[in-house]
Amino acid sequence: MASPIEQFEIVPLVGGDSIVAITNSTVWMVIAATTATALLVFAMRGRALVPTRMQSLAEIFYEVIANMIRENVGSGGRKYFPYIFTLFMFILFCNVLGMIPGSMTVTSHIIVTFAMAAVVFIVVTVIGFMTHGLGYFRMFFPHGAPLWTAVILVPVELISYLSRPVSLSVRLFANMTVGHVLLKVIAGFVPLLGIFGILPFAFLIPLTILEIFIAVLQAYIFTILSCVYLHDALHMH
Amino acid sequence: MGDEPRRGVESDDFDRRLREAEAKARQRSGTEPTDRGRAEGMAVGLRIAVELAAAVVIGTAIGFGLDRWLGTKPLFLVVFFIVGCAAGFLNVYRTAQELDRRRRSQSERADGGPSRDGPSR
Repeated sequence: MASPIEQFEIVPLVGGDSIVAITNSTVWMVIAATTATALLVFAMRGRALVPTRMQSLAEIFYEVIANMIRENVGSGGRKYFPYIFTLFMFILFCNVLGMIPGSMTVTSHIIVTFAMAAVVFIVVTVIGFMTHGLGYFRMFFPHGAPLWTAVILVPVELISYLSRPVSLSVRLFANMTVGHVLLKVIAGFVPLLGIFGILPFAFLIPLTILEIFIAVLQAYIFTILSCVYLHDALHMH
Repeated sequence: MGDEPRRGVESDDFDRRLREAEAKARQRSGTEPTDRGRAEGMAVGLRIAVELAAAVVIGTAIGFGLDRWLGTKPLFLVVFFIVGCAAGFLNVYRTAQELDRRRRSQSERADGGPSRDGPSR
């Protein structure tokens, strides 16, 4: 029986032991980015007033993110649409392509999710300072609280702020890893149990559907939380 | 010639099936757990758990780092662990508040405005 964590192994394909080697993870990231771009470019080629099926799909993606930004970021959020949209499409395609048997789920590596969360964190913090200048430091002290409480409140708010990239990355990473390990463990029982392997096999079907839902939902949650953080940076609570 | 009545029957049949499907959809959005509902429930649970843990981890890491830097072994670790826990609860509180706000605005949209609230309470 294959080890359940074997699927997360990084295999260098080109470049050997070099730290810039092209690995299976790199390849699947490129595939995700290419598929997302190809889908959108191909689907929107017609630019029909009455959309075809593919064009409707592309328009749904656009509308979901446009609505998300309108509701969660509010005014001034429009200009960050390209970034949020790219983030959503990339994570969505990484997660969903990871559901193909034999593929690699790049979002099941914490370094990948943490890199994306760190970029969100830095971008949001820079936007906050650009919008409010040094006044952005007021973010760490609730308006109207007595001054002496700053000793307690500032560290608490600061840690709460610093924990954002951690929670953002761990959530996506944990969801993807746990789901794939679970699928692999249950699937491992199928050949072991012989004829009774039908039972775990039957259980795998709803579990796979659940995993696909989780793949889509986690991409959505990552993006919506980025929007919420962006809102905080623009409007300060 | 026989086309007219049959089309009528078909559209009746369609209306009936539409009503049934709508009733089923309404039932599904209620208590019955679906795959989508399960995924959303898990997402909410994990979100709150991770929110709490992340702040505690960050707080402890800051305390540990300060102790190593200043050589005050357990002092800052203890202080920042407690501060991290407080920040964790603050995170959970804010997450819950936000989820509540979103759920409320969603159900209001589904009911067609808050006007229905009056008699039912």
